Amino acid sequence: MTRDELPDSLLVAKAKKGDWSAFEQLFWRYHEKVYTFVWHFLQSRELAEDVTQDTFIKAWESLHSLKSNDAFQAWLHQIARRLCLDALRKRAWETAVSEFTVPADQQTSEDGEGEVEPFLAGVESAGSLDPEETVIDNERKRAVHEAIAQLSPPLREVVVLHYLEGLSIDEVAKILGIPVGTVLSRLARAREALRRTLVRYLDEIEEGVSK
Amino acid sequence: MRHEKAMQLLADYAVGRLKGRAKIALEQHISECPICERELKALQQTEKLLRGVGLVRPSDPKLMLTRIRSATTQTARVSSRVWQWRTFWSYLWKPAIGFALLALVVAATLSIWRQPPDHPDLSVSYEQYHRLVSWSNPLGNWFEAGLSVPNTQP
Repeated sequence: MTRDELPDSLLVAKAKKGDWSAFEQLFWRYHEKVYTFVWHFLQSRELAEDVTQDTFIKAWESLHSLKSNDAFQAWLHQIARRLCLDALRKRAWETAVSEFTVPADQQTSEDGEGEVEPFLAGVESAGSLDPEETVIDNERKRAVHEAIAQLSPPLREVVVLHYLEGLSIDEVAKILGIPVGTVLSRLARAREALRRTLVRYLDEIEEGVSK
Repeated sequence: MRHEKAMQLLADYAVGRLKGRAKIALEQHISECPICERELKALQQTEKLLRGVGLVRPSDPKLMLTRIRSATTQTARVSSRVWQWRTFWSYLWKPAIGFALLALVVAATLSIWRQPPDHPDLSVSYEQYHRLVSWSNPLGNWFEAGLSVPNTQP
């Protein structure tokens, strides 16, 4: 069994003993998932990178407090979520302060909130596609990410965790600290909202299937 | 099942939330209603679209890892000191609380068991009397004694 194939529980046990390379392995396994979650939470690339970094620092420092080594992923997301909430509070405070101190015509969006282009730079595209297909694929991905960004935060969280990161309903419920039924109802509402927004792309899928 | 009701339940059905009779009734309605069938298909395709969108990469994960490494190394010395204290208290807090509770139980038992006399015994000195009383109620009588000393001084 190579190191890549080691289960989380073993890597966490090694990392708890101070094995940095085991923790590094966990970083490579989860950094994209955490980053995707954080980006959708904060909708700012720069802030998302900082918070993702802080999440792993915090995880390393408080690894000893993780009781069940198997629950590393859920625990990591809980840390990320808490840091996101802190970052949002901080940003709200800074915005409130800048509204008092900086004249309205000088205010700029420094953290890139609402910008879609920088975020898209990180969206992976399939290597085997030809350039035209890559453009279409990227456009579709961009549309989906934009549609997710338009959802309310509670719906957005469950969509990102379940669909984008592939976590089970139980895991999502555990991370968010809500009942399974609530996760399912949020997923249903989110999917209904996304279906309305993404109707054009659904038609394309339909055409692709019928061809 | 009415069409409007079925449309409301479709999203729940698509995520597998619907159970029992409602599920059977809805499935029956879908088999007869092309609009609901189309709606359900659209919901299923939304899921397909979402699952295909993938994850987002940070701009430079290697740099991020280097920064994490550097931050954790810098705080290592401080955190190890904090960790030592945490370890120390993690072993001590239970005995400390146990000892405090035991002290409270002893004090409470003594105060019930050794009631002070209603009237001071005039054959003993003021200080001896309060020493006796303090055994009866260790939490209260030293304080009480302190308050009453100025009043009893000649």
